Amino acid sequence: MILPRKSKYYVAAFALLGTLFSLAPLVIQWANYTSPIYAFENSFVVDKFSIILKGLFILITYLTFLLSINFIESDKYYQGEYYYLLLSSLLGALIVSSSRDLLTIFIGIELASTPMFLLSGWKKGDRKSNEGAIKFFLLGVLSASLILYGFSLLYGLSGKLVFSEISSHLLSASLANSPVVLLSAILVISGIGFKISVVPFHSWAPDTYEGAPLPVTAYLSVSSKATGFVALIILLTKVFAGSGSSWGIILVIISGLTMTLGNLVALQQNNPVRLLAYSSISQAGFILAPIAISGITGDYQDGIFASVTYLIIYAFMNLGAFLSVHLFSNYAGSTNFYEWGGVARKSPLAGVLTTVFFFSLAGIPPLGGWFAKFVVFRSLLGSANSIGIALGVVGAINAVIALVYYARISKVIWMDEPKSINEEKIFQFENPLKVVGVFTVLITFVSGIFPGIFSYLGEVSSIFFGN
Amino acid sequence: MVNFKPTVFAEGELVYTDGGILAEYAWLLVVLPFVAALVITFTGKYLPLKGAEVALTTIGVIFLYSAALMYLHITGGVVNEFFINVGSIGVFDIEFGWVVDGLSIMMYFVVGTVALLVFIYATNYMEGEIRYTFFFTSLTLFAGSMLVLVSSPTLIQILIGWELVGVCSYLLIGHYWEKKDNSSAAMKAFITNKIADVGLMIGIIILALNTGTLRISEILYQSTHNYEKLSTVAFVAAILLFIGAMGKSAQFPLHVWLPDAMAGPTPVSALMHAATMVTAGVYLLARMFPFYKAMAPEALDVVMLFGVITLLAAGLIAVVQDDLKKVLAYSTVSQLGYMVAAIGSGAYTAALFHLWTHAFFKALLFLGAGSVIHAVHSNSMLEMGGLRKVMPKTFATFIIGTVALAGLPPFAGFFSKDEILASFNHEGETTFFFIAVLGAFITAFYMTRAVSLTFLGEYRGHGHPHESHNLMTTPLLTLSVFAIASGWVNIPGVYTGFTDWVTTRKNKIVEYHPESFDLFALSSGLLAGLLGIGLGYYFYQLQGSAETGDDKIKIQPIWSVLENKYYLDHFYFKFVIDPVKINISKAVDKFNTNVIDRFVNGFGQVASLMGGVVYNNFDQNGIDKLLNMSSTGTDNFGGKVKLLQTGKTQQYLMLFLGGVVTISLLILFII
Repeated sequence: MILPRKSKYYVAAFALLGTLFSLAPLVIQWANYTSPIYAFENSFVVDKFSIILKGLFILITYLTFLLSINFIESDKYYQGEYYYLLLSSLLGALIVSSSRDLLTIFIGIELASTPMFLLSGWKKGDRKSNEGAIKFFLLGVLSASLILYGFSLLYGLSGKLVFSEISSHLLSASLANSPVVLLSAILVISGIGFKISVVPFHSWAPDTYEGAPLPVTAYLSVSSKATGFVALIILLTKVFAGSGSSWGIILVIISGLTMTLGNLVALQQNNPVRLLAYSSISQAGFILAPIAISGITGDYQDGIFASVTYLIIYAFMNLGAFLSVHLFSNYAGSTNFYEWGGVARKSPLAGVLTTVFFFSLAGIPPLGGWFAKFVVFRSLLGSANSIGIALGVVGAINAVIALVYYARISKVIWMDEPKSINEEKIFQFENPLKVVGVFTVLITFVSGIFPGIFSYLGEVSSIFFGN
Repeated sequence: MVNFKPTVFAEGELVYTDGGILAEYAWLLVVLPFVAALVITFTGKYLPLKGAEVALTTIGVIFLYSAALMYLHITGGVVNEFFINVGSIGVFDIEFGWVVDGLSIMMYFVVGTVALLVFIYATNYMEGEIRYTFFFTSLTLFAGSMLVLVSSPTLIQILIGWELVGVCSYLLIGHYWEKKDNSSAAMKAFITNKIADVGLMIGIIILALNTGTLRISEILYQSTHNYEKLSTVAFVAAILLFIGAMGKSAQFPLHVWLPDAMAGPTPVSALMHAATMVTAGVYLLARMFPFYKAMAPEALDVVMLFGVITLLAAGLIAVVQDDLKKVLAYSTVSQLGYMVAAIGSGAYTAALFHLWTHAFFKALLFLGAGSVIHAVHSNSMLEMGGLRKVMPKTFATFIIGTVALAGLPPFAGFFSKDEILASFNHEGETTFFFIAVLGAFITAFYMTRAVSLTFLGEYRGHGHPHESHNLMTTPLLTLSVFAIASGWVNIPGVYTGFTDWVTTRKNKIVEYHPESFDLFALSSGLLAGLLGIGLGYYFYQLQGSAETGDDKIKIQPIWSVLENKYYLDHFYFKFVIDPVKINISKAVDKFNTNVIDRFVNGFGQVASLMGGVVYNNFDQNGIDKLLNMSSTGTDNFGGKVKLLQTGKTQQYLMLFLGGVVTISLLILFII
């Protein structure tokens, strides 16, 4: 922030290098890993679960930086602050994945989302950006207060802050299914439901996504969502594990509604960013489904495995999808994708990438998305529970509906009549963006063809429960 | 991570060989097309033949390799499977690999032969068309995807091949995507298939969960050894797998995509209808046949029922089509009905035998139709006629294909159709037997009609059509040899080599296979075929329809029901697609934007007051903070916030709180 404007690019380079270097301690931790390490009176833990998720968050942030470089430089926005805020949010996500007490996790959640309020309003002159940011902010504050209220109930009941102590207290006092604990669970689910934008807490997402700068939107839909899911998984399984049968039902309903509503509304969208917003709402329903069922069956390990696998694959393909939308809307200068007829011909590389990401989101093998869906369906059907199977059927119907709008975009960019193609106009596809595209596409392919790389997650989620 | 595990089986009286090095390297069949597709993509434009030579070489190698395997199999009997473990997800391993046994070798050979001839044909047919190189990339991928599917030793690889075939067909059907109809047809094929694919996926997951494995051979082993856990879900799983098969093999009522898929270039239709894609469903049923037979015989009855409905319903539609390719398309649907019904009746060999002969003569008919269309520049039979004089080679080969399809001896279709009829008769399915005989009559009738309208009489179209290039007629001549002789590999009482080929596999097949000709079935089938040809010739030739292109037997209202394909498309649009796409989706969209109002109404004054308080408090804070942080544009900003106050934020907050309250109420009711 203190650098003169001309040398602002140092900030970007520094942020990129810094993010990359922060992977180093993770690798060392992974290599030297023996058993979970606790710190700060059991409120912070380093286990394989958290290491993997931290790796994910850092990679996503790194890719977001790459997405941002040209975007931020091209305008007279504040570069220094931009990177600083994104890094703060990253720090919050990292704290969440290691947190084991109420205070730490709350600070983590808020640290991850507060910078996003500012970032989503980054385009100061733009009315939509301001509107989206304000909505996001107001609802965000409400969600924070709900989470806090939920936490205060827990604290009031048990007098403890550390998760393991709270849950053992709830169990020993047989309070796990008492109305107060359930109210607390509902408040926490509602509060975090906002972060992961599930129905009925989703209404901010399309407006905010539309208004925010595209790299920020990508980050919101991937990293913020992932942070929320991680927090939810930790809280549900570490604190509310005993009341799973109650919140399980609620989450099943939320999950079914989320996939269906997200999909059906996405069918009606012609703005690609809003389409992706609703599509990622629908995807959140899929991610939520295994945890929801695991609440009912009590097989948390399986639920976490399926949800986290989906989450990781989703993160990369969705980032890629936002990259595609960024490229094409930049070129076509239109926010109605029906006007993008034939633009893929201007840049076949971008066209192929787009097709891959959208097909992967639709769950077509051998791309990563199919494996994510496969794991979720396996978890739902394997629950041997009629509710699980019913949710599986809802998911199956949605998987078909989703193909309609995912395939539509690829059809438009390749097959429709070129209208907005201008032979003179150069298709901007800068090198950092190419790196993002190729990297995410590689992960999308590899995770579909060699899903074995996810198999150790099963072991990891068992470690998550071994303590 | 990669571990190769060759396995050798010796079961029953015959000791099979493991196939040696040829079986070990059979993965080349699957990998080569994908490598070739990459090579064509990156170098195709710079090559003298624009990439076609790479595609041809690859498919030529595949043909030779499959022929070598075929030879090895005929002489020795190969059964072997190879697995590559790519990881496990908790309960079961995810493995890819390849299987070399009678069934898969037969499919390799069919795909290899038909694809090679279609590729040669396409080099000339597609000459000068747009995206020539891309066409060969997709066509190679299409053949490769089919090989992924048929080489699969695990259900998961079948699923992947299944969807890959779907994606490739999407690219190929929509090849002339500048025309909107074509890209819509491609979408229709893609989405109809996806519905079936989801059924298949769920079926596979159910099977895997209850057997603990995705290996087909292990699932079949458990099926034939009465595993308790599997038997409880067998029926559901069998039906779900069949739903998958219905999509790809175009069974009623999921057949609607196939006729529209005619929008693709003719070589694509030939490949799709003969060797790849549509045979996938029959292949899946055949592969899983021991499971159906042992665990879910009731599901086989369902399979048979749908097969019989399809063969009759599609055959009737074929009678009223004016588009030559559509006649052939509905004919394919109808013939697939025969295969599926045969599997359903328990006649494994008969179904595969019909798949085998049908692949050759249907490829021949499609390529012949392509040759005609290439010459007259129209698909409509009303603009053809009299072509026998100007296109003698095409005419002769088309006649051979027609007679083979109509089922007259000694042509291929006679033997395979006869075996299906014989097994129906053997099973005592009298009704179905007669429907199948009726189907044979209809087949002969519509094919005679098509021949009359296309080749006989006088030319009604424009221009001066002439015989196609040698690159197109040579495949026709080659295929007509197959259309005649491919039935001779399974003549009851004479030579039944085919039966040995396809029953040579790890899990023994228990099925009915006729030892000698069933004279009743034979004479019924033959009579139906002759009658169909005779009547067709009478109506369209002697009555002079071929002169005018006019149908003399338009009987209302049956005709219009058939022309509208039983109104099935209307039904789907009216009751499935439009409601979801327009009504439900729009309603949900509206609900989504207006839901806030309902909440406000629902919760009344109290809630709105509460929301207002919350809003005001947070609003003030929010504005203050944001104002402090942004030093510029304050005036502007304030104005916008003012606008926002009439916006939806307040309502969003209401929705949010409303959600919390609803969930709380919900939990109160549940507990």
